[in-house]
Amino acid sequence: MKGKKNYITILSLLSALIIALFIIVMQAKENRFLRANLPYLLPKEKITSFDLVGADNERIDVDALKGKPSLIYIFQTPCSACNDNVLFWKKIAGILKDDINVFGIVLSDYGEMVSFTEEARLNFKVYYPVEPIKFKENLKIRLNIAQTIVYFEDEVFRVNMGNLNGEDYTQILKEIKALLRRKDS
Amino acid sequence: MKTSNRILFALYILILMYCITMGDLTAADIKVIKNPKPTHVEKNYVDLILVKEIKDEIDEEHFFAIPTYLVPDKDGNVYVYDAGLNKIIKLDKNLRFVTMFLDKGRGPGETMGSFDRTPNMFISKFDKLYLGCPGNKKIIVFSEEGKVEKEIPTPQGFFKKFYRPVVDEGGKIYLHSGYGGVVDIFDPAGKYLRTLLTQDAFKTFVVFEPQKKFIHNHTMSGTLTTFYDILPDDGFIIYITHSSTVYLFKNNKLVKKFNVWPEKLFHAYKDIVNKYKASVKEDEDIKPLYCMSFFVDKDDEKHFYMESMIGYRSLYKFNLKGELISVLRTKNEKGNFYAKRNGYFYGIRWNEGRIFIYKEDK
Repeated sequence: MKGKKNYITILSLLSALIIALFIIVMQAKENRFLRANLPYLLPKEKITSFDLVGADNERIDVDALKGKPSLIYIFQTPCSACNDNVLFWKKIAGILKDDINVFGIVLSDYGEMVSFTEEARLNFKVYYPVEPIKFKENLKIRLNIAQTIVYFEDEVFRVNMGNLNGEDYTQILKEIKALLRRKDS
Repeated sequence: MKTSNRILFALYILILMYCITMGDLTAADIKVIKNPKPTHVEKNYVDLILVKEIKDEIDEEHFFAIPTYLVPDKDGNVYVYDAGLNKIIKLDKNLRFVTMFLDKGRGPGETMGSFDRTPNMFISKFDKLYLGCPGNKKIIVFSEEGKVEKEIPTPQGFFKKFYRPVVDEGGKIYLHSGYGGVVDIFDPAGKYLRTLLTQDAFKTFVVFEPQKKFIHNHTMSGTLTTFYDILPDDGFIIYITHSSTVYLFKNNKLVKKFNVWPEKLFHAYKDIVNKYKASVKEDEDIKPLYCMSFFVDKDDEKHFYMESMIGYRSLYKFNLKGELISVLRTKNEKGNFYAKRNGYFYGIRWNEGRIFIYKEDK
């Protein structure tokens, strides 16, 4: 009798363990699936590839993100949020230009990049990906939408999708200033 | 066709043609004074010195985005409208952050905002802050602490460029005219009362001649054609930029009108207009400005200032008789001055996110 009881107990525990393992594996798979399909980077993620070319044929790579906090603006033409955001982007770039790296990245064709830069009178450099498809994969860009990314010390600190508002603008400035204080200390 | 019917038909056509052309000035209606005889000679110069300024960062928690207008109150607090944030930021007399208010939207106490860089606020004698919200067709009235006290609807179809409500002691509200004149007057509840001046006030241009096809753009009351403010004892002042003419009213009746054509200012303006003519494209409608701001001295309410846009900022100080008292000069200021109160001159350079305060160097 005692032996039978032990047998049932062990079987129950094993079953519970198997079910728990199964749930954990399924969750992990689902999370990986979810993560793989999110159309943007998440905080703490790392940018591993950043091969870009500027209007003056300047080439940069992921090393350009080192040393200072970086502000990455991703836009495509046409994109109404991009047009709306230009004002805030220019403002932030103007305030912090000496203390941070600022990269505007246009995902439309090269010619549009040049004309957009001139029309909007941007105060930061604009680049085009050397390999657009690979670049989009690396930064998880799957939607035709503006993005504002704060990046420092190999990790993403903030990603804003779409239109920035006054509150976003203030929070971005505060965050970058906090990163600068951290860098200096 | 019977004769009576023919007459009626002809009358109908005449009325129709009148309606089509009503309010639409043609080239033949306007008058251009190419070489105005100077009304004033600049003699007395006073320097303005910078007292205080802040740029972009108010403090660690608060930043300007695009400050476009400000008004000071009697205690030296400054209310700044930031078009980028769509907020009103209250600073104390040392330009330290006090509070921030206003929300974006179409609900009570909210505004859709605008990036137009034009005056849109007024502080009444009773220290209430009036904010013009043309996108919402209303005026919001705030207390000193930023609490919404009431909203005043503006008439349907009134919408023009962003405008500044001016309020007299009786609570009557003055706005750029939407009824074909220069300034409309409304009662405290927003009911239309009357209009000051007619479109005739826009018919005279000094030095600058607009392109014929754009004349209609220049013959409406707006923030680039018309400035106005209240004066004590039921007084009111209007300044029309086209002709640089000041109109003074008492109890809504015109009591004085005079031109403001200072000699050096107009020589400089003529040079600018000539340079502009040489470079303007056929389909461009831009009017060179010599005056971007005009405001009454809130300390004594017996003087007004006209800001010159030529070179670095200077303020032409006049009394209400039309006499030029002095020209107040800055060394290298490029921002715009918007108010004189508490012995100080307050201004903004919007594209630098900068608020500044000057005083006379005595």
